[in-house]
Amino acid sequence: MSPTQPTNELTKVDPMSKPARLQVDPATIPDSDKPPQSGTTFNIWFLKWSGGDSSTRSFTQSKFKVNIKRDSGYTKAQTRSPICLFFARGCCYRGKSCPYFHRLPLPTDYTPTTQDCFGRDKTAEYRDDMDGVGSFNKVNRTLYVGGLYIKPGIEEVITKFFSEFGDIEKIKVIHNKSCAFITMRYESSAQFAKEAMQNQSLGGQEVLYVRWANEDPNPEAQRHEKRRLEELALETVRNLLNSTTDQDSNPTKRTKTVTVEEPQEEVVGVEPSIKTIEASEVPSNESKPILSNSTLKKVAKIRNTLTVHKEIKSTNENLSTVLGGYSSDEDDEEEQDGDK
Amino acid sequence: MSEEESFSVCPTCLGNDKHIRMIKQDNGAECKQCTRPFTVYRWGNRSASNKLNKTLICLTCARAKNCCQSCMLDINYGIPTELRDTALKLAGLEPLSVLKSSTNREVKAIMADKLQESFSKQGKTGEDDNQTKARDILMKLAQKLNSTPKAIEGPNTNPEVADPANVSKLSKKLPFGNSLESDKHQDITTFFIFGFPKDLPQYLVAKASEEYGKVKGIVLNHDSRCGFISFEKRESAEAFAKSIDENGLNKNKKTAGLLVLEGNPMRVCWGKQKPLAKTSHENKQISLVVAKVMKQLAEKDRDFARTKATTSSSKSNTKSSSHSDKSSSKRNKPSQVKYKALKDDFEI
Repeated sequence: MSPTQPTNELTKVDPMSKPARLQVDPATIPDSDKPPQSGTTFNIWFLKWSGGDSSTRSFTQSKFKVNIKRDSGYTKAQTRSPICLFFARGCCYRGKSCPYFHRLPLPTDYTPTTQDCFGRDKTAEYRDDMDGVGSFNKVNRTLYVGGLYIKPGIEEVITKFFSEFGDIEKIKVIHNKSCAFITMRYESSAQFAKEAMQNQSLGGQEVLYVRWANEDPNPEAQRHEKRRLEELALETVRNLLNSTTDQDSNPTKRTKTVTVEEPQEEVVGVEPSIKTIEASEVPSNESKPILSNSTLKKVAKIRNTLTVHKEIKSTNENLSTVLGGYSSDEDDEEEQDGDK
Repeated sequence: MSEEESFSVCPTCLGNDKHIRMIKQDNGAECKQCTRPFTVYRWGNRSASNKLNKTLICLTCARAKNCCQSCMLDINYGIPTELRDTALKLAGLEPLSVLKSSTNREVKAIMADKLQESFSKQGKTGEDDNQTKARDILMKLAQKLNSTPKAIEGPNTNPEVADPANVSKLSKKLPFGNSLESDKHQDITTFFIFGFPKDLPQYLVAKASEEYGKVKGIVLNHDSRCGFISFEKRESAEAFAKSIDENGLNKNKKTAGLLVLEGNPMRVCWGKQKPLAKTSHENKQISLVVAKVMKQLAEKDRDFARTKATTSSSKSNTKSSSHSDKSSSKRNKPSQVKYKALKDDFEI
């Protein structure tokens, strides 16, 4: 999503100049370290109890918690390595020899659409309990946090705990359901916060369960979301138009040879049949520009007039009038109707 | 190699190497989208990572979404398919994605089978065809997006007026009438902030206030458009008040000051922290009160400016316009952002 750019900020920020802290010492953890029994059988793969009556199941608070300031540091991670999942959970035992990053996800990080910031593959649909990696069909920046202990000033407490993992856009606490919806600025921050705050507490005895949020059913929120998406789409298309014109100025013709190997499992010692095909799927850049120059000029002209129009509109208004004025803007609304 | 067994991967995923060695595995995995088994291709892309790239969804699903089998971005433009379809919708064009979703795995597989059939009936569309099609669409998109400025739809809520008898006790406690005068509000370190657009990001407020000192807490209730900022120290709070007071937007010192953060307008004044709305009903009531107060304050400002301006009202107009010009030039895409925020405030 975000293009990769080398960030010089890393060197400026102190935490990354020191080696990553060893979060847990594996020697201190007993072999028979099981969570309190909450089911009939213990699943050694997921380290969880399963079976039995679900009503008796209790959530246990995590023993580890990440402290970004204290724990982050340099590791053996390469440029495109993902973030360490165990670092986020506060229990990476490899410290500076970890092959993954021990830091917060940056907005400039390159994450494929099909993976989260920990390098785990996303799925098409959410899990039934909305836990897990999430869906690649939708960009979800909102977390559902359940199991809150509602007290006065809970919003501030949530802000304090979650802002450690990234910029918070919005917090909505549902007081009578003792849960909250937290929207982060970037999807990667939400992914990190989800793992970092899972089974943690907000300073008390409560155990949070953090899940992906479903779409907000509030029609107004949906309108907002739609508008945000539309703006984003417009922006992307504009960038696309600009970049295609840049590309067309220096056309390069590329062809590719793709060799496909078919491993033959049954027969040993036989050379794999190698087929060489001209990759018809690889779109080669052609010298013909996508948009003719005249169209582009036209487009630019129209765009200019548009922005000028909007500026005039905003300057016409006395700013303070505009900010609070609800009644005096009828003429403006008419103007917009005219535009449509 | 038949057409069905081929693959559709974007050039970015394939990498810059001129020769690519691929491993093909028949029925190697289940398609992440339709859950049917499909032929998996794996290849290395040294510029991206040392992990092997692989195809994640089947060719049918990729064709249905018109996306790359590996990165699932649009195959022609390299943008997320969700955004592409939104843009196409905005321009009044058909969305490229013909994939329907279902929660049932079985149904998904059946639908994908049908899709595959229909694709094979359509016959092979050549690569050149696809390319020219993509060009055509982009061209149309460019024309439509720029000729019809149907950019942003505002909220079309019918205006409601707060019923004074209905206003809850909660909203009466909120300090709407306060100002930014520091000497009038001694001993408090909290600000009441109201009238911001409903999509104001909290981090903007946090960043703006953290410049002046350590912030104890920020509470924003987006549904009722009001909230509190509390500082740890009185000095930083005073510095914050002063900065807003002197940002040139506040003419009337007796009322709450105006603050514009990246095109999001809001009013700020000193105020003791009070509990905000908890239920949706309270939210609605308070949001109506906020709307009313914003209107009154704007009128007050106008009156104030009228009495103060000795020459004429045109002067204040030009003054404000020059100001907004100045502030807009600072920002990236000023007209658009501001337009959005202001529109939000018009029609509540």
